[in-house]
Amino acid sequence: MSTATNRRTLLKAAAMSAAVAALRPGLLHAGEPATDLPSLTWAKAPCRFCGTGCHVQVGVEAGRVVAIAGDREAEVNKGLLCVKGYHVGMVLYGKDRLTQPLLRRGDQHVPISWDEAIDVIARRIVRAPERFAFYGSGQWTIPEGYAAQKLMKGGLSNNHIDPNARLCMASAVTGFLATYGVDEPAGCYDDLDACDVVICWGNNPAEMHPVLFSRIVDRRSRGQRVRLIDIGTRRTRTTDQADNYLEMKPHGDVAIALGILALLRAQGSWDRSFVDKHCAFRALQAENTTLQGEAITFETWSERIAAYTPDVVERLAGISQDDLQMLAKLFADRSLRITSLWCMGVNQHTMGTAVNSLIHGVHLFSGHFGRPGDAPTSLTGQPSACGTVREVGTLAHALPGGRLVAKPEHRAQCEEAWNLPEGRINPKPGHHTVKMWEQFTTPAADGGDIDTIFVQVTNPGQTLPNLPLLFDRKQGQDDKFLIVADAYPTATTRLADLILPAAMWVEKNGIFGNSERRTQQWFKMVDPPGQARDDCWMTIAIAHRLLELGHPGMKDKDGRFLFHVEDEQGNVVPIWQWEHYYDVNVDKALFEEYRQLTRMKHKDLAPYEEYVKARGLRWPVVQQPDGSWRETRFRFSGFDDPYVADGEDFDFYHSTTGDGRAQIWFHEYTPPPEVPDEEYPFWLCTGRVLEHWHTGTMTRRVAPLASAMPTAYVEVHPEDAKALGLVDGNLVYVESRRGRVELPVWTRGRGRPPQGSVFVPFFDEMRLVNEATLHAHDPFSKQPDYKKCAVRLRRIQG
Amino acid sequence: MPVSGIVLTLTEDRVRREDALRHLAADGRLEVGPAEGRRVAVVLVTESLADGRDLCEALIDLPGVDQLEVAYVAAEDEPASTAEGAST
Repeated sequence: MSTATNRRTLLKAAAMSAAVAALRPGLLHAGEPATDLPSLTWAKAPCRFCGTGCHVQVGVEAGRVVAIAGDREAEVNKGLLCVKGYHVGMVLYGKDRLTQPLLRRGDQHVPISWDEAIDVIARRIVRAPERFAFYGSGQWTIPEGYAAQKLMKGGLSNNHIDPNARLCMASAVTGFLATYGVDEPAGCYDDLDACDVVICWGNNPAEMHPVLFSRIVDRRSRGQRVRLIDIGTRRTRTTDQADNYLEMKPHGDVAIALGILALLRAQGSWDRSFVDKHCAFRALQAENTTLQGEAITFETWSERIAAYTPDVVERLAGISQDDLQMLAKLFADRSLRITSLWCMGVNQHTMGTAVNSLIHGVHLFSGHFGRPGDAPTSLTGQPSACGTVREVGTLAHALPGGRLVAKPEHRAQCEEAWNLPEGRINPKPGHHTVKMWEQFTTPAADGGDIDTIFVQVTNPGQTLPNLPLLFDRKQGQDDKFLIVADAYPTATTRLADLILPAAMWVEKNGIFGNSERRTQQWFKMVDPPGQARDDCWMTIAIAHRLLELGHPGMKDKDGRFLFHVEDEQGNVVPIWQWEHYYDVNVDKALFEEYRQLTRMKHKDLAPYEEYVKARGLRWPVVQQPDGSWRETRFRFSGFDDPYVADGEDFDFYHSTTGDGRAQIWFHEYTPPPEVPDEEYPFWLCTGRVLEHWHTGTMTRRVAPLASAMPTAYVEVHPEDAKALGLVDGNLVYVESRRGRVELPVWTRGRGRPPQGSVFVPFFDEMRLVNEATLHAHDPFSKQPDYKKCAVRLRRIQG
Repeated sequence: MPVSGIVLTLTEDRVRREDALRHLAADGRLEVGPAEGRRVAVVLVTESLADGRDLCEALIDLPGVDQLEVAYVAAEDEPASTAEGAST
C-alpha cells in the first residue's frame, strides 16, 4: 500500500469514527480522534467563529494545521461542527495574510519594522493620551481584552475603550442588568436538551448557531416532541423546521411580549407563587429615565400592561390574535418547559433593552424560569463576547468582574488589585462605539475629540452602521490616525494609517468565554506567518514604550511596570520584547491576575490549569471541600447554584432591589425611528448567512465557503420584484437616506421576506450594506438598530 | 484528497428513507457507515473541498435527507485560498 493510500485509509477511519461518535451518544467520550498517523498531533481549541463555543480537535503536521475534527469530549458540540467550523483551520492560510507592519506614506502602505511601528503608536498616544481610543471586539481573547482594559483604564486613565460587541449584544447586557442586577444567562445549553418548547424571537439558529439547533433536530429525530415556534420578520431555514411561524412586523417583538404578559395577567394564569416570592415590578421614570427605572406596584404594572390587548398587539405586531393566545396558553402551562432563544434580532433594536427585559419578564411572570428547560437565553455572535467584553468589562463604562467606572468602590477595588495610586482610574465613562467613531470622523475644529484609534480583531469599516457618517468621513483628514491590527486586508485597513500583522487563533495562546458562561482555554499550536504577532503582545509593547517615553501611568505605585511578569525564579521577564514573549505563559499570568476580580458578582473563575484540563467550565466555578472545582449550570436555582442558601428554591442575589427579587418590567411600545414611506417604501433588515462569519474576512478566504456563497444579494419578495420589473440577478441600488449599495436581486433565496421588506447580508466587503443602515440606537445599551430602516430599490440599467 | 465525516438525518417516511440509502450506497465517493435511528454516518472522499461542498449540497437536496451535519474533515491536500476581490 502506498503512503498516500495508507494516509487516506487512516483519515477515512478517523472521519468515520468522528461521524459515528457524533451519531451515538454512547461514544461521545471516546477520546482523541482515531488516527495514529505518527506525524500528526492533535490538541483542543474552541472554534474561532461564533459564540456557541464548539470545541474542535486541531490536527497539526510539520507546523501546519492540516485536519479539524469535532471534539467528542466537548459538551457543547459533542463531536459535531457546522460547515464553518469544519473549515476553521483553513482561515489561517489565505494567501494574502498580512506579514509585516505597514505605514501609510502618501497613497502607499510601506513596510516598516515592528520597533518603528510601536514607536509611532506610543508617540501618537503620548502627544494627547485623552484623544486616543482603543476599539476591540468579542474576538479578543480574555487576556487580550484584559491587557487592553488595564492599559487604558489603569495606565492612561482613559475610558475610551469599547468593543464591536456594542453593536452585537449590548442590549442583552442591559436587559440582564435591569432584570437581575447582573449580566449573562442563568441557564445554559442543557436547557435545549430538556425543553418541550423552543421559541425563537427574531432568531435563526439553523443558520447562525447550527450546532445548537442540531440539538433540537437531534431530539426530534430520536422521537422526542420538541415544539419549535419561530417569531420572525422573514422565513428562514429555522422556519422550515418550525411548528409555528409567526410573521411579525419589524419592532413587533415588543408588542408580542407585552401582549403575552397582558393575557397572562387578564386570564389569571401567571405563576402567583413564583412572582410573589421572587419578583418585583418596575418601569421607566416619567422623565430622566435610567436603566434601573423605578419600582411600581403590581396594580400599576397591571393597569399599564392591560392596554396591550390582542387587537392592539395584532395592529402593532401583525401577528394574529389566535397566535398571541397560543403563546399565552403555552406560558400558562407549568407542565411544559419553555426555552426562549434570541440574538441580534432582539438586541440590534432601538428598544433593545426593553424587549430583552420584557422577554425575561414573560418567563418570570409565568414561572418558566430556573428549571432545566425553562430559560430565557440570549445567544451571542462572537466567540468571547461574554468572556472578554461582558466579564472582563472592555466597555467604555465598565471595569473587570461586573464593575463600573462610575462607582468609587469599584474603581478602588481595581486600583488595589492593580496596585495603582488612588484616583488613577477616571470616573467618567468613555465614548461608546457610535460616539467614539462619530468623534473620530468629526474634524477637530468641529469638536471631534478623538484623533487616534487603535483597532484590534474587528472590522469597523464594514460593521459600523451608517458608514458614510461613522467611517468614510475619515478619508482625507490627515490629523486623524487609524491603527489596525488584523490578519488580512479588510474594509478597515483601506483607510488605515498603520497596519499591524496579527497572529490568529491557534497561532497564539488564548481563552474565550462563550454564550453559556463557559470559559475555554487553548495553547498555541503553529507559528504565525512572517512577522505577524499576538495582539496581547502589541498592547504590552506599546505600554512599555510609553513607559520608556516617561508616561507615569505605565508604573504601579511601587514603580513596577504595569505588566510586570516574573518567571518561576522570580526574575522579571521582558515580555514587551517579542523574542521573550513566550518565555513565560503571559495568558496564564494575566488570567490569574484577572480572576481575582471575578468574585464580586459571583462570576468566579477557577485557576488557569483547571481550564487546561477541561473543555471549558461554566462560572461560577467554586472550589469544593475536596479541592476540586465545580461549575454551575443553573444560576439562581437552589438545586445547582452554590450561592443560593440551602433550602431556598431561588435567590436573585444581585437583585437591584437588594431583596433577592428579579424585576418584571413594563415598557411602553414606541415606534421605530424610521419607517417606510412613499419615497423609501421598503423595510431593510440585515444579517448573516450560514457560510460566512460576520464580515467574511476569514470565511471568504476559504474556497468552499466562498464559492458556496460568493456575493451578497438582496432578498426581495417575488410580488415586489414583479411590480418593479425585476428578475433574479438584476442589479439594483438599495438606497436609504444615508447611502446606497449595489446588489443582485434574489427572489427565491433561502430567506423569504414578506412583501414590503428586503434582506441583505453584511458579509461581503465588496457590497457594504452598512452604507445604508441607520445609526439610531437604544438609549441605554447604545446598540444601533441594524434590523430596520427605510430603503428603496432602483434598477441599474445595462 | 479531502476526507470528511458527516451525519445525515433521514426522513421519517420509510420508503423515501430507503430510497435515499440506496442512492448513498451507489455513490462511489461515499462510504455509508452505521445508522442510529434515522441518523446515519457517512464518509466522503472527494477530489477537492469544493467537490465535497457540492456533494454535500446535493445530499441536502436529496429526497429523503432532512439534515446534514459535519463531524470531521481532513483537508491537507487542499491548496491555500484567498477571498475573491478582497481589498489590499
